Amino acid sequence: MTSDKARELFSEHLEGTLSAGLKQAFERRLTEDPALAEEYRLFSRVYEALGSMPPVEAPADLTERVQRRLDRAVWEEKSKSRPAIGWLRSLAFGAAAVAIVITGYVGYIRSTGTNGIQAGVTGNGGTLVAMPEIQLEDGKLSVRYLPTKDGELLIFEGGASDDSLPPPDATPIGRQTTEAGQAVRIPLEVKTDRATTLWVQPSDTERVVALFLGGGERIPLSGRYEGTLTGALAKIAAAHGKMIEATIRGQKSVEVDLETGLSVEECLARALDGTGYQFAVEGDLVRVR
Amino acid sequence: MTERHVDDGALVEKALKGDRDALDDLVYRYQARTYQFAYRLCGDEDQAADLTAEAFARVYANLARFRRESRFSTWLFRIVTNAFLDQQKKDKVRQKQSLDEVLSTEEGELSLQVASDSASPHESAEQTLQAEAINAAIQRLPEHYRAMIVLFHVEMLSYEEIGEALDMPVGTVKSRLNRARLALREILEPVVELFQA
Repeated sequence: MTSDKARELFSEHLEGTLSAGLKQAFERRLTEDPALAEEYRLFSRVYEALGSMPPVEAPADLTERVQRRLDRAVWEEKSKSRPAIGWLRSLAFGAAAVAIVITGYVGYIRSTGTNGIQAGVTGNGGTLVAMPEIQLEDGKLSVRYLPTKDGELLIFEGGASDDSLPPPDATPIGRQTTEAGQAVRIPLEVKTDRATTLWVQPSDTERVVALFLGGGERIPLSGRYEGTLTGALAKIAAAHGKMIEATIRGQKSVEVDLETGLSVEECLARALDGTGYQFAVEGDLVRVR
Repeated sequence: MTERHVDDGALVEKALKGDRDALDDLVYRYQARTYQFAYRLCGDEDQAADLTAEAFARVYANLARFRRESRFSTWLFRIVTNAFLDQQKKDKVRQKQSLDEVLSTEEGELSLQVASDSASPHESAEQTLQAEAINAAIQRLPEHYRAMIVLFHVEMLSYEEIGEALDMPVGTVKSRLNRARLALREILEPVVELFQA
């Protein structure tokens, strides 16, 4: 047996899978060749050490990084079936419930550090968050957003209550390219009295921010409601003439008694019970997170 | 393992129907192991996290192609390996780190520069040195050898499973693994004292 042939058999000899004849020939070769025997000895030590490698600890932000990438993959898949539509198109909706006008981003990166980005907004106060947030200041609505990755912000309006968010039949009314670390502020001008819902979705997450607008005319609650969580929130907004902002990931089903006479807080407490979401009332705006 | 396999399959079925929770369950179940595998392949924490994220994005995009007769983990390892190979192709820059930090050769002399905890027992420090040297040596292997070594010795996959994951006959897996170990032994030759019994 040559040295090269013997080397080819190192693993099999260690694992005990050589036939009796080959095993005998292999061992005889090692006896005759001390250098090869030494090679084999080190080989077996390395083999053994390979099996006792300590586990590697995953970084603390691994889950977040995986979820972000996954959210993006899911979003990309879903967006394949949605038509692309520019901002100008929104002006073409004669009967559109909402008109949205971009006045440009207002913001800047205040500092960057090794642990991430912090941002501040000039002239508007408040700290931006990674998900879009609806702001209501002096009676004016706007979307504020600090993307952590390059992407897009899509805004839809309306649509029937559905398991998919935003609903597949929601009307795209706006699209804004966003850059990582560049704060965005998009004023929303509401030109309708009827109840409707706005959906704001960044491309790098599956979560969506919904703004349920109550509209001018109150629509009374009709008792038992069985349906989607967003459907329930839309009903509560319409019944109380409130604006409800909700950051949602994945639709949920609810069964809830929503009777006329209940306060908005009571309705929300019932609707959100067991869903994992909570609400906070901030004047005319209610936030659900 | 059989029960886990069935569970994985059921989660895949649900995920295919758009159940995000099922997809998240699969991710939760395998992300640490995936990261570990990715880290052994690339030797860099940040890159390993990116590879892990990319692998799960590919899992999502290719769920419909998952064949239930193979284990989900085997399929996942294949995806991670492909993601790693794709990245290597893109970068064109081989990971240079590792062995150079552990083994710095100057004028033929080999010196060890591995930080060790003086409070640790001698044996433990030696094991750490061994592990670091092996880790670094693995990074010097050609990519396919690297994947095989990690799948067999760290992930404990059988030759058959590795063949399935890397799409090659079992005989090829065996012979290449032996060559990979021979290459490792050669790379580690300068620090042979670490492996003296």
